[in-house]
Amino acid sequence: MLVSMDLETRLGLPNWIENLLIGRLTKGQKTIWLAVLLGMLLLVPGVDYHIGRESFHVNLYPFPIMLSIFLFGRLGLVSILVLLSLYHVVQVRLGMEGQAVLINNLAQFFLTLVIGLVCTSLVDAYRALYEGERDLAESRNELLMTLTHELRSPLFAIRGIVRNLSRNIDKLSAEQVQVKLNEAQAAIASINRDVEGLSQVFRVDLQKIEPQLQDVPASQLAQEVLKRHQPEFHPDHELVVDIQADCLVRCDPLLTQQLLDNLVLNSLRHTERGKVVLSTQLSGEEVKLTVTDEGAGIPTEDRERIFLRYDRGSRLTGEAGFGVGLYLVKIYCKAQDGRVELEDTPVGTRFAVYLKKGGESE
Amino acid sequence: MIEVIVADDHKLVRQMLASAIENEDDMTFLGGAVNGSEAISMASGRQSCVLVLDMNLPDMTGVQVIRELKSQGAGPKVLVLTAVEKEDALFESLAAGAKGYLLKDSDVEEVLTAIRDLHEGRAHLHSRSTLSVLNEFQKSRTQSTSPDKDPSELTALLTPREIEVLKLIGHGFSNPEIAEKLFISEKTVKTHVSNLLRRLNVKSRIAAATRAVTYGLCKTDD
Repeated sequence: MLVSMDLETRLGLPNWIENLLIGRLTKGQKTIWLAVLLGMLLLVPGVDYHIGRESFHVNLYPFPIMLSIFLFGRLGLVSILVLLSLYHVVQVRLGMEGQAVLINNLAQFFLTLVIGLVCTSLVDAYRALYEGERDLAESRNELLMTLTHELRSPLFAIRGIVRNLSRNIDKLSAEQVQVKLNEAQAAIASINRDVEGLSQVFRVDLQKIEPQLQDVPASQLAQEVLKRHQPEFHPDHELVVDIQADCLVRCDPLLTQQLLDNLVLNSLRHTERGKVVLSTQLSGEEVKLTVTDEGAGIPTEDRERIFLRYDRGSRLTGEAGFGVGLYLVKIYCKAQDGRVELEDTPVGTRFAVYLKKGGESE
Repeated sequence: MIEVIVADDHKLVRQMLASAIENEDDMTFLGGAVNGSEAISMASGRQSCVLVLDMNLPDMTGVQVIRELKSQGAGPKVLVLTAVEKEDALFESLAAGAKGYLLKDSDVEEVLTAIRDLHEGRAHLHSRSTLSVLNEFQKSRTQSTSPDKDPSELTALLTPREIEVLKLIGHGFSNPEIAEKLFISEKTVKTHVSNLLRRLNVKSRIAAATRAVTYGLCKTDD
């Protein structure tokens, strides 16, 4: 299973140590580590070494504290410090430790507290890194699954269309052959669009978009989209351009055409058959470009997330694609100081893009 | 005449299969469904029909479609035709009642053969899927001949929540379904699943489900 988490741990340590570091211990492992912790606590306050006349005292505070942090987090740090303080207070009360030793231990106590806090932060950072990497692995696997599904289906269709053609070529008229070829070309175009969309997302991720703003007539932008549209690939759809008001748009023509293309293709994809209308109108100091379809519409629960990258929504009809088209629309609008909104419409879906009006002095 | 319905969100796949089916002398294409609800309403009660079903439909999974059709009584014979090669999907759809399972890297000829096989009461699986089913059968056969393992071994390995999740995996529920049943988020379910896979030292959900059965978590009186 692709999504199963068989994530390589980062430090290449044995599993029983890595599990301690990432805080995912089984009950058995936890019991063993607790026993180790108790053993360490019994060694406190430390071990005295005698070399010749010199005597060295090694304090073992840091070890139980670190282990306690691994096992119980911040609560572990606090508990063990309280426990150790009580231990020393009892020692002094019983006369087993003098005041001077207590002061020495207190100094070490605070030093250990600092080490403990640093250690807690490092453990937190390491665990966050692990969680992040696990989430990343999951997203990557989900993306790969999506790619597989969205590429295999049109490829299956293309192979089938070619097979049907070659088997029935004698029975089909030239017109019928052309229809089948158009179907195959539409499937190839669909793959191409998906791959192109994905490569645009990678480009957007890698570099900042620097739009080359200029004044372009709104009608020209709409007509360009119409020109690129290949009606033979969409025999069940009609793309209509409706210029309600023509004016100059302050935009990067390339980015705007790409975002309008994405909206139109999105509508075609989610409309079984019917009209897709691209209209231009004025809205105060902005130009409003809308793409309206007669499809199944977008469920209310999906409206918030349709512009997220790789979100494919809970569709009612149509192909899902890679879930990058609307994300790119949002990014391209934002890069031009514009915005995109999903508007209410009685039937289907309407996306409205607002861009600044051109022809005005800066 | 073999009546065939194709349920797939990809229009071109529906069109292409419609064309291929119409060109066969012994088959007739009843219609294409864009989503699961359409597939259910078209195929419901049509016992003699073969439903070619995609697993990844817009409104529901193929497995949900099969379960719904089964709950409505005598339904069509279901041939799953999917692009995603996941053992979970294979086993869940077979458990739900699918009689055929093909991947979209198959040839159209094989799809047509599978339709005929299903119509004549035979099963038809993709060669890779057959191998997966065989491996799984051999594993479960070996396990079923040995007595149930002691469930207390599980409590040493997993938290009570993870055991609950494992039990539901054993019953064939998907992550969203488990989330709904346990009133937790899907992300939390994913975390539990990945933890229990790691702790059980297994690599797939199916292997985990098998463990659930081995430990007696999936007895029918549960």
